Amino acid sequence: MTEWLLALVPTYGPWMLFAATFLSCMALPIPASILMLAAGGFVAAGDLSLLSTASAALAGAVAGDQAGYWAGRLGGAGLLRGRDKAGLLVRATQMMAQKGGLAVYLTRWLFSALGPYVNLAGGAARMPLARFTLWSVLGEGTWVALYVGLGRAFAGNLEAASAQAVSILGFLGAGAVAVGLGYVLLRAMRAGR
Amino acid sequence: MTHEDTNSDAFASRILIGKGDHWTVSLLDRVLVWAKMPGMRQMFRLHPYLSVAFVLSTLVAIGFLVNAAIGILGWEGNRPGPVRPWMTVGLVAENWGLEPREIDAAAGLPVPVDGRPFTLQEIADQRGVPVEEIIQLVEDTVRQMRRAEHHGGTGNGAGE
Repeated sequence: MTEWLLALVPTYGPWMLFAATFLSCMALPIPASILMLAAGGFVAAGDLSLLSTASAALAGAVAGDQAGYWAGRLGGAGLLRGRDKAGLLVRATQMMAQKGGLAVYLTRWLFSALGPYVNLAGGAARMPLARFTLWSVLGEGTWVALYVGLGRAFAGNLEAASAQAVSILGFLGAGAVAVGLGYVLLRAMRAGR
Repeated sequence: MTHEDTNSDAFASRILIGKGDHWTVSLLDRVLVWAKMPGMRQMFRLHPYLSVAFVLSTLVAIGFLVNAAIGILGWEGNRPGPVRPWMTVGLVAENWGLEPREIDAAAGLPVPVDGRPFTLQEIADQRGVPVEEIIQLVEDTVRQMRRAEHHGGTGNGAGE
């Protein structure tokens, strides 16, 4: 399946990436990250243009996020009605509406498996559309830049580029946890004085 | 950070550090005294769970960073990846640092039409041969060109 999709990249380039990132943001099992790595390689080889490739991938991802957001916004209240006796979902959606920006940003690229569900939650929580869209564009921009950039740097060597992506994401993920724990520790130490 | 977390951390510190400490805790305590890091020592005493989690996550982050640095530094010496059916001659050429149209000419492969390149699978389909045959042809051509380039470079260097 992946090999078949990869073969479509040099032929249908930007359209292919638009469809792949759109569908992957709708939680469909499309290997969009691998396709972007390959597309980066084709950019390095001169077979595809960087501008059209990156902008198509970004446009597809942002459109997918919007589709998920609106699905949550239009259908979310109905789905929650009568099933949230403990009020947990209501509280979760309230938190999402108030402080969801960072969650939207990080689930575009660092914890991307959660992305489609955060879109639905953001819509159901009636997170302001402008704020959701801003963080969605920033997050998807990071995702596209990381993968197309690595594919370009590693000239389509998917194994080397994937390994590098894991290292970079691992560093950023563990680094974020370390910074968060450091902050909590600092506050706890100050409070203890 | 809730009060419960802070309390459980403080409780853990009372259990972990005191008489009959586990030897690793005593060792860490001595190391921090020796290193003249009273702040760190106090941190581990007051919040052992949080401190251990902080140190571990920092070490994991450093590990990934070192791995990423090794990946970048080792890349130039290990550039070419395997040739695959979905690749174009342009991508193979980019991987090996060669001119794509020279590979086309040397291997007798079709050049892009209206700027649209062919994948090796498409070339195999057009010729009605297994794609492995085209991959082998490209790999042999690339190796020959690299060898010729290497010998040519050495020859020029010797002649200078």
